[in-house]
Amino acid sequence: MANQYYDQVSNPILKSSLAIWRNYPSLYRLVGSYCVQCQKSFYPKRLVCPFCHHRELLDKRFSGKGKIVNVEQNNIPQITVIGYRNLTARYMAIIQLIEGPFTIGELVDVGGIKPQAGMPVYSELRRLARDSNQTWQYGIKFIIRDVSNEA
Amino acid sequence: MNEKLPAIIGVGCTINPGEPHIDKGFKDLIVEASYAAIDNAHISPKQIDGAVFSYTGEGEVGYGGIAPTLVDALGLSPLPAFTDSANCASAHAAFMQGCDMVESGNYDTVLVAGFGKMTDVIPFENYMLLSSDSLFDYRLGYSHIDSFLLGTEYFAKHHINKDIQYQSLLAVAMSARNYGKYNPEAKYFDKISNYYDLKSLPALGCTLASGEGASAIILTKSVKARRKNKVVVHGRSWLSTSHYVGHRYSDQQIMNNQSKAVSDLAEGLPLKIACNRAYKQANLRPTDIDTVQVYDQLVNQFIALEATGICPIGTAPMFYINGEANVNGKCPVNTDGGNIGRGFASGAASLYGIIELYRQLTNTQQGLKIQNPVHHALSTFMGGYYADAGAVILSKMDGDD
Repeated sequence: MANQYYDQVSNPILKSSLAIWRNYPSLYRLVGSYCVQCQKSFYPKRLVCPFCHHRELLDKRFSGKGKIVNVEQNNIPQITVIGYRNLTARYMAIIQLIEGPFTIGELVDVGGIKPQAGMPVYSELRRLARDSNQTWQYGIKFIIRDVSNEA
Repeated sequence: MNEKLPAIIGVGCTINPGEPHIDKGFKDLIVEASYAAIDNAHISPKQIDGAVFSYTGEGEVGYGGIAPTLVDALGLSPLPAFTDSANCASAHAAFMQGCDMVESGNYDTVLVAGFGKMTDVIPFENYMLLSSDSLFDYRLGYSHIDSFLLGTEYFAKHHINKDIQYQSLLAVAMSARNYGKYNPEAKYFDKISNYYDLKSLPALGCTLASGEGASAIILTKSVKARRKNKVVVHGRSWLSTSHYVGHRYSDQQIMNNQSKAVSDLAEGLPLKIACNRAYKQANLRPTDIDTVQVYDQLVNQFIALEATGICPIGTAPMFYINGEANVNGKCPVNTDGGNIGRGFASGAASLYGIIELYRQLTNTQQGLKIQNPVHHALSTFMGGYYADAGAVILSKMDGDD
């Protein structure tokens, strides 16, 4: 058992898998929303526009292209509690998507580059940590790559 | 001064909130602190006709309402009692509600009490690290610690060079420990710190000392408070914005277009607004404040201090280096040691700061005494990295010296 789940950690998030399932579009495909009335875009998705308080918001899938606004390297062991024992240290960044909204995300495949504000990034679906029921969680992470000229 | 203002008539707390107390449960802690406050107020428990409690959620897993449990433990049943939870600022939220209860005229004497008890509930670490949008960013591996680490962009934003960064963090860490050294209720009481040791610690020792404890305050109407050493809640303000840290970079989304300048994690905009509202309510200015309590952790004491207006933007590190935050400085900061030197028991944490200000105002401080006269004191706190922000101004009534 211990070998099978070598990366088992105490990650007692007492949350039903339904709560995660409901957010798959947002966590997996960068689906946010936009306001039909004032055309503002939001990520994560909103139910009410905070600008005009219109309630008709439609889903919008963002391109995944963006730039680093702020970045830090977290090597504090406490993050192992939430399932990242083998993944310290991690770069966590604030990303501004080219469509405007800001999101957060881990930078991966950084190699020898020192991540800095202004660098172009692109989102990818990656594995996160094991949930308390041992299933793997997945979600978006970002790689440093300029894809502004790619389709 | 308005006689309807709430007044503090008693305070109490458990000692050393910077360490676990495995021999005590949350009931032990809350009873000890509450009865210390009742004794300090020289009232009978029977006089309490309302209560507000704060915690971070750790009574039991999934505990939806802890107020009746605490009322019963305190021997105060039946009593109208409520519960507040706002991450690190939970106790400030409870204090705000306690003031509202007194001001409403429906309650004469209100107990405000909070506790932090992290070792009894396994997911407590999650409670602490969550402090973000639990449905989204936490699921992507973002923890509360990341907010504080990203907040270090403060140095880059204000072009603060490496030497000043280094010196100012050391000054904060040493100042907190020095205050704690003389405070018998603090983690660092009677402990000697030196720069050599601090240099080997993460963030040069500018990390809060997480532990367990409880704190309590008795509120009543100003007109009913005893004349001598009367301390009133002169101004207060509370603001909730968003837990989702991305929104902090598009403040128009969460600040209702109140600021044209883009906020970020290097600025405590919600706290700045809360402080300005409290100043306006009290008809005071930042220069009138004689001592202040801020949330100290990594660079946040700089951000918070600037949000109070006590020092201009980008100057807080020099404020510390120049000794302005010391007990004989221009505006002493966290004179009980703060989160770093006193200790941090989450659900009770911010009341410890208000208790210290009350004691400095009434000359009953446990540790170092502020050398200049103290007439007005400001307590600030934030929860969920400025998802919640609260500001409380305490004033000593005129002519009571």
